[in-house]
Amino acid sequence: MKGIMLKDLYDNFYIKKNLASYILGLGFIFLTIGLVRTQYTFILYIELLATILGSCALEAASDQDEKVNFDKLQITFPVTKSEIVIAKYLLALIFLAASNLLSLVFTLLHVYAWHTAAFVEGVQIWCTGICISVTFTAVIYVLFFLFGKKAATILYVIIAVLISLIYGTSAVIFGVENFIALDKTLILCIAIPASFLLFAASCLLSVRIYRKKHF
Amino acid sequence: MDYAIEVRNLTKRYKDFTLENISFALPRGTIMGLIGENGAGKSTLINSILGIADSDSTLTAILGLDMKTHSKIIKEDIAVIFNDSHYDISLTPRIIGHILSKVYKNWDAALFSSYLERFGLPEKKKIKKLSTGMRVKLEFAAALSHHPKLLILDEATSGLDPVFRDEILDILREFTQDEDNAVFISSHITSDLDKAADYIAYLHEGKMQFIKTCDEIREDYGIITCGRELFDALNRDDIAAYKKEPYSYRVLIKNRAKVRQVFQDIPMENASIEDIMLFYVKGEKAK
Repeated sequence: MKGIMLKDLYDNFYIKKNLASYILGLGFIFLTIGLVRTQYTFILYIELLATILGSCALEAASDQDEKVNFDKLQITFPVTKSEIVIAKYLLALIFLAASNLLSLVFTLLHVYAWHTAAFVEGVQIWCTGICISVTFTAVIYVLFFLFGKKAATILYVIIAVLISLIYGTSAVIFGVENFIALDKTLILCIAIPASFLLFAASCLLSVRIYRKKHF
Repeated sequence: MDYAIEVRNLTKRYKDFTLENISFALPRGTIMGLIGENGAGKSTLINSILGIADSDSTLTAILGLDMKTHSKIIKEDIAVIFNDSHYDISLTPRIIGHILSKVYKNWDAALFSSYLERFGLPEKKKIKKLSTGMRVKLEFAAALSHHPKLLILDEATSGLDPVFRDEILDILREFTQDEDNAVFISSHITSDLDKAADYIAYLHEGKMQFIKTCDEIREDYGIITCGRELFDALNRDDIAAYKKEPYSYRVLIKNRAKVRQVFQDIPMENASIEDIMLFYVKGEKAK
């Protein structure tokens, strides 16, 4: 499994166009976070950062794999088909952990340096980001295993745009301040374990899809 | 006898094609060439043996272990090269080596480097900048560097020029000098198999027509060009297939010695593997 994860890491960061996407994407987010320090952008970027970064490991790797039909060669390696899928999900967890840590840094900056939110509010928003990013990754990964890279990327963009639209609309209707002030503790206590359960279910489903596709 | 591959009654069914009841055994220390026209089922057979495609069989054993129950252990000791599945062309040989060192327990980095050097492959050059021949050589270097005991090649030398192919054949001969090792190679280039293979397995429309040693093929098969009278006189059991030409018959004989006993003076050409394949595919069965 380590070999498969390593290959995917090379696909993500060694290949120039993929590395450039990360640098440009992160550069844009860092720049806007640094320049526009409002509650609205705080929530938007905290949710977006982890959601988009957390789920893109498979996107870059499957793009490369499909070009050369690497899947077939991969099955001849000393790993089971389940382990191949689990390796992809483990890498996704690493990406999710890294991107949510980055979100935490920005949350702390918003709380202590820019004072756009109180500590509890900031942590709750960060936790909401964990839920959204884990759920989004769970859904997107199944789509990748089910439809392949091309169709899944289109759905990925549609879902990402939908989330942003929902956020934009709800911010206008309910107001950002109300959302921040809302006590989300109980919802998060349910939503965080639920999102990880969904992630595990997604992994099991992807294993089944992968096995079926490769027989 | 100790076999590198042992398959019994393997069947794989698709909507429009069936690989039917295939049985064969590849002894260690030998090279078996799998021949057959496009769509004969060569890749399906290889995919079924490797578990890439699901199939029914009473036994699929590799290196003495059942593939269904010991696939991970077996895969540590085999290497496969396909013509339609490769490493990412944006990576370099060095990176491929790094990745495979985490894939195989017995990966030998020094051996991989020595293969790269022997094949003249630059470690840091991206695969996309290598020629087709160099890419195939890289796949051989990658395949051989975890000390596999069985090498499976699925049309791996297609598209290579004769010089490159000859080098590949040298590698295969060298590999099977170790009597523990074996090669199972499917190829359209039957002349290569004439040079390197110990056994030929011929697959036609999903059915195994024969598995013979190259010596048996040379001894058993021959081609007679004759008129109607001689054609009628030949025993039908001795005819593998025939082609009717404007003024004669070309007949592929499968029992050369027996025919020679009856017709001592008739000229008989040697049949190459390609001839045999063409007769089976394009010729007619004698009734």
